[in-house]
Amino acid sequence: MESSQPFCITHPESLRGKLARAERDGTLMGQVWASVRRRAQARPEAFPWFAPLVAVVTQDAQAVENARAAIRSYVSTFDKLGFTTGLHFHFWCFAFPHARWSLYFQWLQSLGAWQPEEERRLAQQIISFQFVNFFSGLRTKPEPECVDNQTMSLALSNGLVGHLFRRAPLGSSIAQRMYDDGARRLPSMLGGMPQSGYSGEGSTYQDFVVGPSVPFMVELLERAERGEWFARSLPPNGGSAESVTRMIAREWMPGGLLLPWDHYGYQLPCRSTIAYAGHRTGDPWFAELLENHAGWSHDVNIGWGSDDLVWSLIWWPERRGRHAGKVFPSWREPEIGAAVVSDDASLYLMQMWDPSTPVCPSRAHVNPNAIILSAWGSPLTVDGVPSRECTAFNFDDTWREVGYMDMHRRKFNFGSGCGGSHSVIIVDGWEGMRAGASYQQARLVEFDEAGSSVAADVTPIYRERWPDACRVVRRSRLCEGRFWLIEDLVQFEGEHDVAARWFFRSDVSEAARGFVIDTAEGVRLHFLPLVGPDVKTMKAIKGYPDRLDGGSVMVDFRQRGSECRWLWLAYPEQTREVREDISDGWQAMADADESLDYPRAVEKLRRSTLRLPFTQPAFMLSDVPVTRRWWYRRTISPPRGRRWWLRLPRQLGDARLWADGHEIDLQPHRLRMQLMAPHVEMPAANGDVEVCVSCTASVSQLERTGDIAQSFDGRPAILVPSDRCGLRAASYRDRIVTVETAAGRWRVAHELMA
Amino acid sequence: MNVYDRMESCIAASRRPGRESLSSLLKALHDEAWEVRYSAAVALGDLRDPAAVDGLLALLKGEDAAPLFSQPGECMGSAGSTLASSPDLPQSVANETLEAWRRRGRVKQAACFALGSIAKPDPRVLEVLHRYALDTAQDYMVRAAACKALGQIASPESRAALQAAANDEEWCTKTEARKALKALTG
Repeated sequence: MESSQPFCITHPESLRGKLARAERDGTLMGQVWASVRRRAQARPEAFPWFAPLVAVVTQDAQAVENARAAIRSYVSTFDKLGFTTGLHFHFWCFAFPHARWSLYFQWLQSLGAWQPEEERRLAQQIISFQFVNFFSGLRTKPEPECVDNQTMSLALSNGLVGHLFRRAPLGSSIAQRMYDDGARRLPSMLGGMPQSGYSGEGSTYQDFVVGPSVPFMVELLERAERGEWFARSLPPNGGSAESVTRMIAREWMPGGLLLPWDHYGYQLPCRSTIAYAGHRTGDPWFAELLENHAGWSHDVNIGWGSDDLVWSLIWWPERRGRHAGKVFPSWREPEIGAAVVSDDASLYLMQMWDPSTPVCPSRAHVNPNAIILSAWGSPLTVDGVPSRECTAFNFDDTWREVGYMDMHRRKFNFGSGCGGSHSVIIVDGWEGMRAGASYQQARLVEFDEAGSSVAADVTPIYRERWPDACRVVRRSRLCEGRFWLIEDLVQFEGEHDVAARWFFRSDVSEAARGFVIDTAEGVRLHFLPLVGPDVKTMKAIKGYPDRLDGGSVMVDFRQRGSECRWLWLAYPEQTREVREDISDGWQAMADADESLDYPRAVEKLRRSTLRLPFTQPAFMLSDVPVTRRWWYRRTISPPRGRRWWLRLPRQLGDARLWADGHEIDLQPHRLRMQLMAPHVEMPAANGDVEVCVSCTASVSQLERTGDIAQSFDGRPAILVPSDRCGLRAASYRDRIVTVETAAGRWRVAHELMA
Repeated sequence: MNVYDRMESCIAASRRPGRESLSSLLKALHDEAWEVRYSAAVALGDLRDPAAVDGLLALLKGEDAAPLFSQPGECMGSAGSTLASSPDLPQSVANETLEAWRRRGRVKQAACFALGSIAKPDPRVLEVLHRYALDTAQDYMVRAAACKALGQIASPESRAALQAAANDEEWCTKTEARKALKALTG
């Protein structure tokens, strides 16, 4: 067993020094470390994933015992897991966390924390469990064809567990056997990725499984096989660990959400992969993302485990120099897509043309030239997956019946992966649009970062169904850093019904031309055709996406012909502005047994001497009890007699809000609050207002909502209407687009695509 | 020796080709613990000694006769959790059945891979592998392993079975079947 140093922590003293300096200096890294340590020490049974790091860093006897207990608890689950459908049929989900628990076992071994008999027994249980479940699992995956998050998880776990136990003192032959198969496949896992670094499985899998597996693959290969494995481009596709991590950084949108690319949709990102990229490259861009654009309250499930913060702290680079470039630069990858971002990152457009899975697209959706728009951190368009109750995309020709792991036959509809559920061109009403075979489905035509434009030709995927398809091209431009022009050109030999389909946030209203959407975050988008007919249908889609607003509006603009063209203006504006940041100075109070009601709570709060920012749970900011429910109180000064909104942190659990003793209903915000800071419209005020909030924050890694354990973060503020709103006129004449608004007038030259 | 030590002995034996190792592994195919039988099958695949074919076929015969319990509903368990799962296990189910559920597919898969590594075009081997490749009641890890093994044996007699398996709705199985068909045609 490799035991001299904790694996992946080459110099424990350096790590201890880094975290001690960070805590002493009160940096963000220091705050995160203190919050991890505080939670692990206060509720060790609820934060088992933090325990090994705290043991290694503090070397405190109780911390070491907590870590031992966590590993014993984990190993004790093996027996019953053997009877679960999860372990049998989703074995890869169990393999990756098993590898990390094995690694944590080794950390304690490096501290000399085990008695020999227990060490031997636990090691045998860990090796056996790996061998009978995940060695067989890896061999199930065809080599070399299978390169995906599942096989990465399996190859990594066999390689890592094998490496940890193949050497003296245990010198396990089983471990060596697992290492041989696992390590052999790791280079092709990295090299089998496209050069873009995008796995094609969707940003959630990319960010939560593929990305987090990369550091471990690299660290293992560099230790066991020697050489440099991070930047190296590998066969068969030329993929590299570095390209994966850079793509993950690109998936971060301004405002802190992941792109809703392919499967699953908008999500909060994980941080450890970014930390590792910063650690390896020294590029201050990654540190900039971590320190100024990441949330640190919530716990993200990486690789089916809750140790994102652990690995973030290990790899978080101590800052050396400022990042000079844009934090959210425009980018393009010729095979998959491009993003065009304004200099101040307020406007963000991503156009995608990544390959979709033929026949039955599930993860790699059919989204030729679909567009994601976001302004001032507020998503304008939606993508992702529908809720279970949503049947909007159960198209007639997208039903499939499969044997479910030999237990049941299951009929499902894969329409949500097809063209009809994306913001794309729909021809002759075929919503189940998909490829029937593998071929190059699209190509980049133009990308001009300076001119902020991108165009891609997606004709092949249309030509498969309609041989007379000549051109299906979409071009997007960011103009003056202030609005977008989006142009569609559809050319066939014969006439067809063509619809330009869009999915927008759910508050949509018709305008004299086009329509207007208003997001819950106070961003308005005017969307109208400057060229092409304004003939459209609008339909509310409840349950799509399954997050954010929990619904959307599908808009189909229609025309018929052999050549159909639209030139859209997409003009966003902020309808609210911050009047006052009220993050600081809140009276806070724990409600340990969750028994307080408003009258008693507010009385106690008024006497509370604990004052904290209402930006993160109190126990993450200060040495106070790690308690689930908290109350906050503050007197604020909203504008008199005007509309105003209270912006609260996102991810407030079970939140309730009172203003001068009157409760404000937060129900409409509950789902969206998981991703976005809620803007709560408040009653008109005639003077100061006493605001009181009751909320919960997760105090356990064993309870979670989906992939996230909720814990709030954000900056409360008073918002008021913006005065400079309104689109007055827009036109396209003589190759000039003219846009007149309350904020200004622009004239932009635009040549229609030939 | 405890179960783990017997598993270790199997894999260690595969690194010492010879009569003694073969003998110990063939004996281990009859071990009372399925983990040891599984380990022995993996090891025999690495040893690649044709003398192991009879033992492996007998192992598969025993596995075919084992009961297979399927739970009435899903119990995913929580990956990586320190909390124990609570699978729904009716009390009337015998321990033998529960053990078969616990090991489902694993021993068969290891034996299929071993037969593929040995690559002996024995009609009895082909019959078993053809049957597994086409039997959708088998776990897909077994179907895929059977297809892969058939590709390693590369007998023309497997063409029809592999052509059918190439249309399996499960990706690993059809991928291995298609590769195996290519192996048949060189």
